[in-house]
Amino acid sequence: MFTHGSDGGGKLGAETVDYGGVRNVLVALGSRRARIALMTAIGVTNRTGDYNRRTEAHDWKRRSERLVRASGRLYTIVRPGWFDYNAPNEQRLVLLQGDKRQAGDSSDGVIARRQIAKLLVRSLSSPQAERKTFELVATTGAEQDDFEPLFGALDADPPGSLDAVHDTPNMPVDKEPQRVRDDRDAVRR
Amino acid sequence: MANVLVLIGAGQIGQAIARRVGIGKHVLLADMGLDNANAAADVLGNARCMIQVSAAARPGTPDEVGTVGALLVVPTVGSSPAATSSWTVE
Repeated sequence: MFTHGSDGGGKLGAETVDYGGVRNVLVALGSRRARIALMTAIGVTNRTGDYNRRTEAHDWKRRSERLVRASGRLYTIVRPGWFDYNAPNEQRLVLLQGDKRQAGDSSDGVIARRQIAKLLVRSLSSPQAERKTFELVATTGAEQDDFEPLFGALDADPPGSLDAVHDTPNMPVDKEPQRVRDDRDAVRR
Repeated sequence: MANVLVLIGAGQIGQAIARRVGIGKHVLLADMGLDNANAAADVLGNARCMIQVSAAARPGTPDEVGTVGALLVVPTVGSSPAATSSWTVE
């Protein structure tokens, strides 16, 4: 389970931590089996906003998602909203796809760290969560006991695709840095 | 060594995960800041060994997190005095 993220460090931090941490683990895994749960961020496909232009954090997190998909392992990728902005009555989990909420503030959605942890753990043992990528937020209401219907209602990422189902295709593979393409080849199974 | 949970980065989400999947396991904590790892160990209770790591390190660097992946942890640098043993996790 990956829930890491760079804390400052700008573009270098984003590349070496947000992306590099995933690359390092996948390289170290080699041919070993592993079920992966990766946390990135809501809005990760927004490349033109001020935050991504300053830090490239979205781009590097998204590249880490691509590495996981390229690895050929079973995975679940969770893109949470803003941590712990929930009001006490906002516990009902909502899983979205397409990454359409890109305001760059808590209006994109809120989610408790505790809920992220619970969902990541459950995803590892859920066949319904395999090869699923989704945004995770909470809205008014009580948290569901059973997450299987939530996972099951989602579309899986297309086999062999580097990007999540329904994502905006705004990161052309052939325009990616050579080192990124090399990393992808290195982790591909 | 099957009953070892390696938590690299002892932040709040990691601790929340460890509370769910670390029951009955030894928990190995690693963090860029040993103070963070020590504080998390106090909270979790069953954590025994703290090491200093960086997620940014490339694999192949013996004392760093080439190890991140939890395939091989080298608990020789920055080990807490409270640690009672060093582990290799394979």
